[in-house]
Amino acid sequence: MTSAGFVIYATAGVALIGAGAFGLARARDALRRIVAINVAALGVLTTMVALAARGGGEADPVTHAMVLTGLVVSASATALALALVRRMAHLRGEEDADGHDG
Amino acid sequence: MGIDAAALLLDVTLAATVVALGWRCVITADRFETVAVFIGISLVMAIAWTRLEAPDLALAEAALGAGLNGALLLAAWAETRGIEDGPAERRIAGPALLAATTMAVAGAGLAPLVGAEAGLAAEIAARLDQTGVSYPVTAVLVDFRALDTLLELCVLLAALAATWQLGAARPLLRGKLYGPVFVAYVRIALPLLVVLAAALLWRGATSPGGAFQAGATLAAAGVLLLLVNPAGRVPALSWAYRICASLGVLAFLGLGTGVTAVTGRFLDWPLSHAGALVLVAETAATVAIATTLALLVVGGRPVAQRGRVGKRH
Repeated sequence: MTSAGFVIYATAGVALIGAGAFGLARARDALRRIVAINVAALGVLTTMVALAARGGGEADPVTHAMVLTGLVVSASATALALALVRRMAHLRGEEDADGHDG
Repeated sequence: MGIDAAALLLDVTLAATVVALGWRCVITADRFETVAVFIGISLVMAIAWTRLEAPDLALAEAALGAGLNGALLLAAWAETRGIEDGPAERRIAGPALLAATTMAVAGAGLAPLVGAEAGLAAEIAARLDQTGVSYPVTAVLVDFRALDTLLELCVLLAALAATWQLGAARPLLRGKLYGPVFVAYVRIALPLLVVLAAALLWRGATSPGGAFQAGATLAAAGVLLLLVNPAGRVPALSWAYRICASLGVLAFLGLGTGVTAVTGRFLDWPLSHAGALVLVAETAATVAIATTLALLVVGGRPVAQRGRVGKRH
């Protein structure tokens, strides 16, 4: 990968970070906020993958290791956040049902 | 020249697609579109990463971003349909300012790196013979930065423990979303995924692959299994879950402490047995990562499904 490739994908990464920040600040809905954070996270990871490949030769293994760790950690954090969203929706549903009964 | 131009065109197209999808994802007013487009971004991103010499990262991203998170996002969307938090989203100026500032700071930070010498590839290559493996990324994960991997396994375990506090698991899907073709597909794909995960784990010592990629692949297989299961049912909580989920942390802690008797340092594998120790640690990490991620998709404490669940409420 040449430096042209690095510039192309790093720019895309930065644009994704911007999209994530925009979505995070704009959304009021929890699900949208979680997706927006994940878009920004993908932007960060793409920038890192581009950074790892910028040398032209073998990619930087330390950066690749960090990206792998980041992928797994962000997937588990997202799973926990979505479990919270589902739990909130469930509780709200019960609340509504109670309201109708009483 | 012709090939270079075609490669450049491909790179620009991929990058532009990802960016366009990213913005579409956060701008659209349709919550389902947000989720669907995000899954699309993860897949296009995986293709882009193969262009950046990272095929194994691409595989992990496709399994985790599109597969695992995709399934979870769709489940969360289905459960919160019709619920909108707060008033309609009309704010533009504030978010746009934040996005512009973030991009400017990130761009300013990255600009000096264009044309700069690349990272630590040479240093790692020079010290590879001090580890038990010959693939540099695996060497970094289980040898040079083994402590990072241990802490990362702890994060996974903490996320699972927190999810289990939220109550009993509820079915991922209501009703059946699939037909006979999907079931037939899973029958073929499931064993292949298990073999692929084992191959990734084994080959990780010498070529792209390793515990993370194998764990992600195995977790995706687990999600497939969950999806063909009519009510998203899983066997009730047992010690098997707890042991499998904590196997990675236990192995890293146990082996890491054990080798201090030989080398005097935590997680510093003795060179004579480094290959075998790394393989054991990686296998344990694969099982832990796969179990934890799949259980995170289940989204709560697995309970015996006899009649209605949710005794606590």
